[in-house]
Amino acid sequence: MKYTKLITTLLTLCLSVNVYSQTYYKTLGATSNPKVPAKFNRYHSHAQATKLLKDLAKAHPEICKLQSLGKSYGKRDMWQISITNFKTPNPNQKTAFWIDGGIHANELQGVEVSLYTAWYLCEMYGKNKFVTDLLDQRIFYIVPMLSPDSRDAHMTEPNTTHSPRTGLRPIDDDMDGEVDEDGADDLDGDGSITSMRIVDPHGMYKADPDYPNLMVRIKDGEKRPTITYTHLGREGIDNDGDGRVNEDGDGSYDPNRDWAWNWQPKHIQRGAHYYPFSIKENRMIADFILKHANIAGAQSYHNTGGMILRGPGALNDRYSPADLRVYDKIGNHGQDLLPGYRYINIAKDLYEVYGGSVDWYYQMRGIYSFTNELHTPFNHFRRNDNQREDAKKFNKYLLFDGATTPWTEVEHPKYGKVEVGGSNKHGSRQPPSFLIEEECHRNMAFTLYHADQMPKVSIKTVETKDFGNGLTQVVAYVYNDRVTPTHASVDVTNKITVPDILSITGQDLKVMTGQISRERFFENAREQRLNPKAMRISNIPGNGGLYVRWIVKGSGKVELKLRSMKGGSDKKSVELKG
Amino acid sequence: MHLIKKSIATLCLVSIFSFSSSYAQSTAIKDYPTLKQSQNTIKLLASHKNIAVTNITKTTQGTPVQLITVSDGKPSSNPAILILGNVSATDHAASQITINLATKLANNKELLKNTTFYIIPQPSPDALSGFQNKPYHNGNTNLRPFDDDKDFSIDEDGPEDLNGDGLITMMRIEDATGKHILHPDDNRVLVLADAKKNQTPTHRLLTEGIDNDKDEKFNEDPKGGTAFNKNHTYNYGFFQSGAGPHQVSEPETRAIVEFAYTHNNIFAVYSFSGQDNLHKPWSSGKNSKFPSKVETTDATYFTEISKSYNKIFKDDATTSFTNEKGNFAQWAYFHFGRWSYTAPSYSPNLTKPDAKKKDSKVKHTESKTDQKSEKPEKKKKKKTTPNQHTKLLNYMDKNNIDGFVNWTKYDHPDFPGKLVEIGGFKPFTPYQPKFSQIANITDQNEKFIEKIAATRPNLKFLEPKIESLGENVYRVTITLQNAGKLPTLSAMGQRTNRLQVLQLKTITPQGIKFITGKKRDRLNRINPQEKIVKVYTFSLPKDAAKTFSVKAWSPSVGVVTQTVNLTEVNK
Repeated sequence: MKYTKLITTLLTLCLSVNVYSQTYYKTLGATSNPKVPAKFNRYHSHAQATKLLKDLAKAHPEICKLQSLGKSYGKRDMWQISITNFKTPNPNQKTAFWIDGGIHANELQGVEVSLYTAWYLCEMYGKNKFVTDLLDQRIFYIVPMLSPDSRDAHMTEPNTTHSPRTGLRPIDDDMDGEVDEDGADDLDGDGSITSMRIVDPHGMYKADPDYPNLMVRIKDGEKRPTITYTHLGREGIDNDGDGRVNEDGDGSYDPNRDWAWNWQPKHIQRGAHYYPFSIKENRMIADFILKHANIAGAQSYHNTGGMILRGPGALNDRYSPADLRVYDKIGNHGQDLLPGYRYINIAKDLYEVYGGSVDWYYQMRGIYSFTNELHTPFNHFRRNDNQREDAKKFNKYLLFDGATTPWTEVEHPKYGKVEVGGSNKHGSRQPPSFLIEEECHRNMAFTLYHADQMPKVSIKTVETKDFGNGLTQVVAYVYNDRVTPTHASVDVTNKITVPDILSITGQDLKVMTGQISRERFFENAREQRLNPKAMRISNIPGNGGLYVRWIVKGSGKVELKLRSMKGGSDKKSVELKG
Repeated sequence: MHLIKKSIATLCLVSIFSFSSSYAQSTAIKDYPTLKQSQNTIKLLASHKNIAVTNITKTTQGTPVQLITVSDGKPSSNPAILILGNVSATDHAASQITINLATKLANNKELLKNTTFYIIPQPSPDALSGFQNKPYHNGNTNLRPFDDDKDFSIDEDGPEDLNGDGLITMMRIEDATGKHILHPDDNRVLVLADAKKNQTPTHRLLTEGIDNDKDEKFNEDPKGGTAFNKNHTYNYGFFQSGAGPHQVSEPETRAIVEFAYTHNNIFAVYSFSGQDNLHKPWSSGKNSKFPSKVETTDATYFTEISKSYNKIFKDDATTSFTNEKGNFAQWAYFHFGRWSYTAPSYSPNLTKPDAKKKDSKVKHTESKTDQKSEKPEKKKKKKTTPNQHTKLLNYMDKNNIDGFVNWTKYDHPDFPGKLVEIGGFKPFTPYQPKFSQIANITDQNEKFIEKIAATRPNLKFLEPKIESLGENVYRVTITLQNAGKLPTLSAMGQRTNRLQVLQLKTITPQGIKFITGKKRDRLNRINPQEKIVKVYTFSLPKDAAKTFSVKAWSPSVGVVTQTVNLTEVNK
């Protein structure tokens, strides 16, 4: 009797194990049966992200490599993960795509998209043709978490949804000689910095009749309710006794005003620190990118508002029309993939940013770059009208009031009896569990489209012809099969990246002269006098090509090699009759 | 023991300064010490009780960047002047002057009572390689490899000392495809041919060397680098030769900028560079969002200091401001927000022999762009107008300065069958003082620094007004005056918001209750002679002490305290 019970129990156990190890129905999107199980309906702390990245590197050694670029100010590893098919030759010479997340630490989901992308690429390699081709031909460099110290601070310390945007180096914000001496204080101990109000018969606020955790302004001429309030600002006390509350909290500089192009000091650009890359974590990134000239595309993840942003960040700056055509093509496509998102310009359509990372990527490194502002109120009810009201409604009927904290009474040293409550740090900027995964996937899809549109060069044709007098003419057509050129206009102008090189070699081959032309008849060809064996092509345009012609003397096998820093490489050989 | 150590050190110092000509190793200018010798001299300074020497960083080549702190022992408790020596590596005299200044200032007890000096004689020590290694050549950059000609080969075509005289000078090639002619007054000098005056070019002018990479350009990509004076954030020259990969890219620039920003007591910066605002102040005017002019309210103070400078130096030479992009001195004012004073260490008065003309303009050629290609002296206006270089030659001839290599024939492999001559100005020499002049220039600089210190804002409390309102309620009226010659903060300093705001803090008996007035307060800029009045009304517990103090302070201005005895009620 006893045994039967035990056997039954064991059988049930085995069965249940079997149920979970069964192959799932093939769900589209991400695989249901990954080597590294991961959930993208929650937010990863630095430690949790570290584990995920280490697990990926361990489970997919031939696809991904993990390294630490160094330690952050708070001694956390700055993880950088490289993803490609490492079995192909020279993986670090492949055209590269850069992804970074969470430079503004409170903008949590930027990190999640970066982690999701790393996980997705690793898990889908070999399972999906598009991903497999992409990783055979391209390499991805991802730094999921640019400000790990502040991310953990947002998660574990009292904050608002907006903080900390800064890093955590001590800064004397109010220039009074004391540093970080008056930050916000979590008076009700709910882990968030919310609002303070005081019951005041002359107050201008009342409890929102539909959403009691929130307040609304009393309208002019409206009949005053029995209880009215004065709003006392963010939760906190005047720690340093200077008569001001919360004027000097932890840190205060903006890591995304720290990049070299068009950098301006803090009296012109709020948030700027001492000089470009004076933030250690950014310097690590800059050093990495400076060493990897093969990066042709870049994506930074921020929040919030549903935007695909392109530079320039400043009104006094401009991008060339040719490059804007490339941006528009990719950005407009992104609007389709990301419902509720708008493809817009930072300076004209949002606000001016001097010293932002995307401008540095493009203007000083010649990398086409976008910043996505993740999460849009459109997602609340898939509509754009009356977003403010919808946000409240969403909180009540879908989050069941999770984004607000009920008001509680506390004793304040300056104001006496006050109430603390209202919107907490978990709502507003950070999408809830059921929207995170969709954000991750759609944003990744946009980025993979951009990555796929990075230049991809080939030698399409090689034709030889007897030129007379014992000489041979060799004409090659080099082609770029994608939207992005091998060199952005800024790159050509400022000579940032080495030219694409098309070389011709052969035994006893004598190369007399070489020319490059846009058209096949070489009527306006440019002659290269110095070393015509290796023709220097300043740029191969997007979805276009160039003709290269040599006049040579020789016979037998001749090899042509094309090498583009940002566009890959190709080779072809022909037989010369001589 | 300590005394013995000290006297030995002093002896060493004396010997270095007085027998400098006995150096075994030589540099581009007679008697000047090498970097190593200078750095040893600086190390030895530390034996003085008012001097501390530290290395603030090491360059990419491992060379230390030295900082000399001169103070009464507590450097951060006094307002400070930051002094930089050869901001342009070619101004080697500047580092010698600042090294000498350290000892002078350390012995200037009066000055040290309320001023600290941070001195960095050689901000970019690796940039001195052309000064101390043969062949000597003008150069301002450190040794970071850089692709000057943007041909994606790095440092592949530097100059060569073809005639073996240990100097990189110039080559002139008789060639009608060139752009130059010989100056009619002095055939040692070449000027651009002016087609409007029917002048036909006769010469090409190039720096001494061969075309190593066969690109038909000569010496267009020499060794190095980034120039310290092009590596700062203000008006940075993106992608320009010598500017570095981005602003503040070099360890030395970074260390100095970090040092500056983390030393709140610095109120003024004195540096030696071609961005001269001492012979003539920088232009002032209304600024946009991006300030590029001296704020009008600051202009008066710059004019005053310029007057003092000219009175002391009397060199009558109007040096022209060189608008080097990313330079240090303008950064110090426009971004760092401090009073920034700068001039070359030495300005030879080229017009003095004629004694009449006043239009001499000394251009301090700084960058290696001047060596690179055919980018010669200024165009001359009239056929017989003496140009910059003829004037300089004239001056050197009269003052026995051996700064010119006469043109001599050279058989150049790149110009077969053509007349090639090598010669021209020696690197460094023409624009640098003789080593023997440095002591005198140091004295002048000490006087000038005393002037800077004397203009400082000077806070003082005037007689307080005390009223008793009964029942231990008092009203105290405090008046704070700036009795100095500078405002507590320049207008640019206020705009940049990089200086600690003047704080007013009350020190009060236990149990005080303020009715008006703040326990802590912030004060805006106080102009010279301006008075700030603050009224405090408060009640005290019966048994409280009857004193009330107010402290006003900012690291860059100083500290003053006023203690009020509440029993001394004014009638």
